[in-house]
Amino acid sequence: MSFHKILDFFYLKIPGLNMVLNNTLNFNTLIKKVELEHNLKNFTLNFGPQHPAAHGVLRLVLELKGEVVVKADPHIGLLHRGTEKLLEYKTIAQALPYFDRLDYVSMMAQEHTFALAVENLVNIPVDINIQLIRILFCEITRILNHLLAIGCHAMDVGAMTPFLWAFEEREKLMGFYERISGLECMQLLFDQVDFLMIFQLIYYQIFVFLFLNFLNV
Amino acid sequence: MGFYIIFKSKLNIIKNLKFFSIVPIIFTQKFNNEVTYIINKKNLLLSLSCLKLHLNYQYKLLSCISGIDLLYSFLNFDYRFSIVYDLLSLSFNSRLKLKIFLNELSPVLSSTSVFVNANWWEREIWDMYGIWFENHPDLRRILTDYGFDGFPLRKDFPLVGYSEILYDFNKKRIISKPCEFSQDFRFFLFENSWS
Repeated sequence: MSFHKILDFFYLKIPGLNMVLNNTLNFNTLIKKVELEHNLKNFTLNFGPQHPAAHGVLRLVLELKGEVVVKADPHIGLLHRGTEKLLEYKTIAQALPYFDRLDYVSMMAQEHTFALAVENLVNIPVDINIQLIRILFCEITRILNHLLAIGCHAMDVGAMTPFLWAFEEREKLMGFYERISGLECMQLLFDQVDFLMIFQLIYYQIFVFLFLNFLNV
Repeated sequence: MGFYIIFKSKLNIIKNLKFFSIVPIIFTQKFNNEVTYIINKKNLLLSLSCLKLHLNYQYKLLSCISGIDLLYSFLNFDYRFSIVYDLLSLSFNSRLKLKIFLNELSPVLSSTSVFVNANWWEREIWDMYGIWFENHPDLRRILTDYGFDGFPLRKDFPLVGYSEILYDFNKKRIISKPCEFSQDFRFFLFENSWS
């Protein structure tokens, strides 16, 4: 009975002993072992596409070394909706509603950029009143955007109530949106500003007319 | 000296371009104070690096690279695509565009060595138009679906695409199959919608 069979009999297992007994332990095998330890791969983790910490759909292929992210490969196309391709088949006026859907937290700003681009392209001079209205509503949009950002960030951090406060204020500002374009979130304002001014004047006149009639009766 | 450079007007910068002596410009477009230089494809990297590094230009920001498909735009035009590089110089507050023309088969040199953010822009152009960028470190699709076939922003790519994705109740998974429509897609030319 050889020596390692005795060891096996007693359930003794000494690492590397087999190699010593068979005369196979040499320097090369040791080196290979060391190399194997160094060739260990990092852990690869899929973050998303649906993950509560990523707002919307974003997929990150993360390479982890312990808890540290060594490398990140973002897959950003999951939110892409081919708007450019859709716009190839549409008129400029039909293209406008896509822009407040693209960035649904600063709708008016997106529409403004598109309107400016088109006006620059076709060389349309814009009336100063309309420019002022646009700027006013862009600023309202900015406040809306920041309210949403701060509220959502507070909620991510763990505070629930500031989100509700922010949305209450947003509701008030959305009132202005609704007054001017009839919609709360998707405005299409820049299309119709000039029509709107006329429309509001007429509306005002009708109101005054009815009111006076009511008094007479 | 520094003040002198800063207070130079935009037009003076454009006039004083040493760029002219280094890079032969084929054509200069000016549209509403937006200047575009059309240059040869061979001189692209040279001109980009010249505009970025030269003291008198300092176009240190590449704000955008966009591709254009000119398939139905011109008749008997030798080139199908054009790529526009939008540059921004913060110290002189001026913007500049460089435009190159190319074919489907001719590759462009990648400008990632000059501007690092060109990486994703070029990936997007490769994804949408199928223009190959040489020496690009990581030229993969960026926006379209996994396993997507074709280049969607080319003018001859149909709006509805070639395949559709749907959930198969029998196989209990999402499958993709060629598009089937009960009615043919009515193709509108661009002019039709205006008439």
